[in-house]
Amino acid sequence: MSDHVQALCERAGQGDLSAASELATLYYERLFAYLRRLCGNDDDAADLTQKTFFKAWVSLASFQGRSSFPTWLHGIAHHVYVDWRRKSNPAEAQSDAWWETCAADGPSPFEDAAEKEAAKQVYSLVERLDEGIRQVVHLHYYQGLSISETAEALSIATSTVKYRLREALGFLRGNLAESGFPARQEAI
Amino acid sequence: MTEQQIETLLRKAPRATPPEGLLARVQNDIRLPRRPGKAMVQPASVLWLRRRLPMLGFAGGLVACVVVFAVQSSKLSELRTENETLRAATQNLERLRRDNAEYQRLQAENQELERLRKDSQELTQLRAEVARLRGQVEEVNRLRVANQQLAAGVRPQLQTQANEEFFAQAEDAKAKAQSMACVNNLKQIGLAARIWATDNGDVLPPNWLAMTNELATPKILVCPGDPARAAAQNWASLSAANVSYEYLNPNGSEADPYVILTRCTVHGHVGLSDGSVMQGGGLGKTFTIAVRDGKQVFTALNPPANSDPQELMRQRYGLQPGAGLVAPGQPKNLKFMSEEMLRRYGLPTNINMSEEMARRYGLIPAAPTNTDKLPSYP
Repeated sequence: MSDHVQALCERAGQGDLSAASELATLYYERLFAYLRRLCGNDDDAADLTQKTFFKAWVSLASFQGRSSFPTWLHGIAHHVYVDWRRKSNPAEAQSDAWWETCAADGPSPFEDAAEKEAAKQVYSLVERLDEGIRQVVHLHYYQGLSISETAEALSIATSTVKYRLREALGFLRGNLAESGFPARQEAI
Repeated sequence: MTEQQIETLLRKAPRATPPEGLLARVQNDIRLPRRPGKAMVQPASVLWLRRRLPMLGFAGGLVACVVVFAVQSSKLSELRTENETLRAATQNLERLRRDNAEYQRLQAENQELERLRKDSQELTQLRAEVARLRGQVEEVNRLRVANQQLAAGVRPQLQTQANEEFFAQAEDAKAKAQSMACVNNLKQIGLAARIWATDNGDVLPPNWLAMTNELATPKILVCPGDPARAAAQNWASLSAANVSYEYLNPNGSEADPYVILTRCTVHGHVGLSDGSVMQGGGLGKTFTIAVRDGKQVFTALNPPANSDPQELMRQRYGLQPGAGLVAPGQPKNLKFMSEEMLRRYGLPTNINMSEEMARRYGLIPAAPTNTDKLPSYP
């Protein structure tokens, strides 16, 4: 956690609204992206993002700084999502159409159509993973948290995170091979 | 695809764009609790300390163990050293014991020597004291001789005669006192003999030892005027050397009151069988001793045949005139005194006791009437 974020957290803890507003500006896009992938629609993701920040402000006094502020926020978002899933019991969150739409908007990070197709296949397979493994993939790869930060956000051990990542990669590689995506020699 | 390619694709995952107004909604929802003055985020040093607290605790415990182990090792080493020292000292124990015994013996001898030294000093002091006292005795003797010489030269002859008379009177008074004490002894002996006779069928005791229970002490068997005899320490050691009196009526009858029971060999006092005592000075004057049936019998000389009985009672028993009478000067019922009684008390036979006096001495039975009331005496 950078000194700037730490100072903002300290000021927000003392009741500084501007500091809290700046923290929200820094992290609301990232949290929305995380929850959007999990929920599958913008409205629910926006509501869950709003609820996540609300709980963060309420619980800001209990934030001891043992982990970084974004990690702590992701942990809250994870619990908010779990509560939402438990209450609303939605259907499958993701759809191939979303990825297509998402990839069509703006500049694409993929180099060619084949890579884009492979990415679409990979993301589709990720959503077929078990819930625990899927959460690890989302936080580690999609949100860019380290293994230890992922473990802290999910309140599990780092060894568990590593194990679940290996499980996820094995599952994806096997399914991609079955779907006709052989390993390429050159780097993507 | 390799895992690395899959990871690359996963990290390139696109991010959804948040809807417009989300940031405003989030910012509008900000409700911060007031916590003034208290730092929410703990300093890095505190966090570092908190994260490493278990490790530090373990390290502290380890250090404590090491310290305890070092202390115990040091203590063990000291005990081993002390053990070695004691073991070495134990090897010389026998020699030390002998030395100790020798030391104790020498100490005892030293104490004995010290005591003898003190005794010697005390003896020297006593000798000096004896010499000083001897000198004082010699001085006293010398002064006494000088005093006698002065007295002989100064005192007149008349003074010497007065002194002799004074000493003679003192000797006479002493002799009288011893005589009275002798009479008292004979009275006690007579009383004891009569008590013994009362318990033994009116027969007097056969010897001194028979009435030891009635005699108070062996001392009364020795006349105070008899310097040749000393009282026995107890009855078991009683012998003729401890008795000044002659026992003249062994196994005699109490019915013979004039038979002489005891006699003092010094004063000549005689004790009769009725317990009375006659002084030896009256022998040949007021009484004489006759021998009858082998026994010495008291015989009065010139008995007062017609004397006044009240005067005789006064003389013999110290009674006031009129005692034994119902009213002074009014003799009544003098017929009850038996001759035996008169003879026992040494009274003339021409007098009689009053009825009340006879009843008091048990000579006549009690009055047949009015038995509950005690008789009143004048």
